[in-house]
Amino acid sequence: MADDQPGRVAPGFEAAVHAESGRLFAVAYAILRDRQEAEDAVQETMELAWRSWDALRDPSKRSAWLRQICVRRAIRTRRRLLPRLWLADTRTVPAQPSEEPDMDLDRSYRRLTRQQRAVVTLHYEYGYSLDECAALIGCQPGTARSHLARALASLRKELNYE
Amino acid sequence: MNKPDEFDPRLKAYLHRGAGTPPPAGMEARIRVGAPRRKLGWALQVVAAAAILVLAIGLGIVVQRARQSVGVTPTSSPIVSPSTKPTPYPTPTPSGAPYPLLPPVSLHMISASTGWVSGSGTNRILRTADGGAQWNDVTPRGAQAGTWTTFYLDANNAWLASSLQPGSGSPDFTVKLYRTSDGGQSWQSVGTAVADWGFPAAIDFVDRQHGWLFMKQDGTLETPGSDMVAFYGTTDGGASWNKLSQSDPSGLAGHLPQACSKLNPVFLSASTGWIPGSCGAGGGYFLYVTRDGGRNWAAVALRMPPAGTLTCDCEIGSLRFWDKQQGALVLDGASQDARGYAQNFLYTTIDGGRSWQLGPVLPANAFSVYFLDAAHGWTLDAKANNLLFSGDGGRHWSTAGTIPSNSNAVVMDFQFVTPQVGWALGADSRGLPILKTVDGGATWTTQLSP
Repeated sequence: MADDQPGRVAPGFEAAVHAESGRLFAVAYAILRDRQEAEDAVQETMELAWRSWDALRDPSKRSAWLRQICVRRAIRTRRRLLPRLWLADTRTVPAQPSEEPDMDLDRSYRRLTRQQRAVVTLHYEYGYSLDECAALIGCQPGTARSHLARALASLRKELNYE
Repeated sequence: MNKPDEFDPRLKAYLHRGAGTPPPAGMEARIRVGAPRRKLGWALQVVAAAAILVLAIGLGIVVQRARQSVGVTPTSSPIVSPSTKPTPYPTPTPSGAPYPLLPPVSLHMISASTGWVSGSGTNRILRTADGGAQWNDVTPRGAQAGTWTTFYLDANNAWLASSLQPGSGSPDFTVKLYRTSDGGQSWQSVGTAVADWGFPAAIDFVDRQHGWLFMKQDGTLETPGSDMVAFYGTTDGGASWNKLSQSDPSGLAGHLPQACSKLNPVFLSASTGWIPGSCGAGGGYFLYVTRDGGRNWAAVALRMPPAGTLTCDCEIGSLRFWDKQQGALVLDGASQDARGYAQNFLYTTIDGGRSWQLGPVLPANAFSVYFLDAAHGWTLDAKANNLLFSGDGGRHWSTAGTIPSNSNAVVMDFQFVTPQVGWALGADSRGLPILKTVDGGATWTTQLSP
C-alpha cells in the first residue's frame, strides 16, 4: 500500500467497499451461517485489500481477487475477540435467533466442515465448477470433489434421503 | 424416507436464502473506518515487535556478559550453508515442532524406498529414502518465501518455483526457480521466469532439460466458467524461460480458450501434453492437447458414454501416463444414474494419447483413479474412504480396505509404486498425515501425523 497515512483512503477503495462488501458478506454468510463471523471475514478481506490496493494493477480483477480472499478468510476465520476489544470502534453484533425456516437442514449444514460448506455453496449457489471451487478455497480439484461428495452424503443421510 | 428428487431443490433453496441475507446495518461504514485504522494498528504491532526484539537482544547481551564473567569460553557457531543438509524428521512429530504438511500438500513416491512430499502451506519439502520410516527435511532454506510449487522428476531431480503471488501487496510477478539434482541435499537458484501476471499453479518436467510453468491468472475467479492461464517453457533445466502461449477469447485455431476451468497440465514428452478441465454446467468437459511443446493447442474429442451428452456438467480428472504409450483419465459426471448420482467413466490410451477408448463406469462415489499399469488400478469411494482395487483394467472392482481418517474428513491423495506398496495423504485440520500400506490397501499405518 503506497499510502501510509492513517485515515487517508486510497483512490477507488471506498467505491470498492460500497460495491463489494454486500456481496462479500453474502458469500461469507452462506458459508459460515454466522453474522458476526461473516462480518469478520469481510473486514479482514477489506483490510488486506487496503494494504495491497496499489498492487492490484488491473481493476477488473479486483472483484475476483476479493472474493477469493473472502472465501479463504471465511474458511479460516475465528471470532476475533482480542482485536475487537483493542480497536476503538469495537462493537458487538448481538446474537440473533436463526430466521432459517428449514431448521433440520440448517442443523445438518452447520455440522459440515467449513471447506465442505464452501464447496457446496460455491458450486450450487454461485455456479462455480468444482475446479473453480478448488481454486477459490485453495485445494486440489480432487479434494473439492471429495468435499462435495462427502458433504452431500452426510446431508442426505442426516435428512433421511437414503 | 424422503423422496431423493426433493433433496436438490431443498438444498438449493436453503443456500439461496443464506446468500440473500443482507449485511448487518453499518457494516460498510465500519469497514471504511476500520481498514485505514487497522493500518495504524498494524504499524503499532510492528513497533511493539521491534521493541520486544530490542529488549530480547539487550537481555541476550546481558546474559552473554554474565556467562563470560564466570569463565565460559565462547564457542564458534557453525555458519548455516545455503545448501540444505537433510535434517532427520522423526515420526511422530515431537511436541512443539511445527507440523510441515499444511495444505496444499503434494505427494510423489518414486519407488518403494524413495519419495517426496511437500507442504506448500508451510514451504517445507520432505524426502524419504527408506520407505517412509524417516522423512528428512530437505527444504531449501535460502529459497524465496511465498507460494511454492514443486515438481519431482525422480529420486534425485526436483524443481521448486516460488512466487510472491497470489495475495502479496507487491507488484512483483516474477517466478524464482530452484533445482536439486542430489535428492535435496543441495539446491541451486537456477533462473527466473518473468511473468506479467498471475502465479505458478504447476511446474512440470519430462526430463532434466524440458519443463513448463503453468501460470494461473485469476480469471477463474472473475466469472464462473472462465480461466485465464499462460504457459512458459524452458529447454535448459529452468535457467531461462519463454512465454509459449496464453489463453484468450479469440476462438482462433491453435489458441487456448479463456472459457472453462483448467486443471494442471500433464506432459508426456517435450512436444506433447494435455490440459484437462471442465466447462461447467451445459459446457461439457475440457481437454486440450499440444503437439509442439505448448505453443499451439487443439481440443480433444472423446466418445461419450451412451447416457452422456457433450453438454454434461462434467470434467476430466486423474489424467496420468504410466509409460510413454499407456495412460488413463476419468470423465467425471458424464451422466447420471436413476437416483441423480453422477456417473464417472474411465478412458484409456495405448498410443500415447492419440486416441482414447471409453472404458467402464467407476463405482459410486469414485471420482479419481490411480493405475500402476494397464491392469492394476485403485479408486477411492469418497463417501466411505474405501479403497477399491481392480486387477483387470477397471472392469471389476473389489474393496481393498479403508483408509483411516477422522469422522468427517476425506482422503486427499493416494499412490502406489507396486501392487502391494502405496501411500495416502489423509485429512486432518491440523495437517495432512502420511499413511502407508504394504498389502495393497488392506491395512494402513501412519508414518507422519500432526
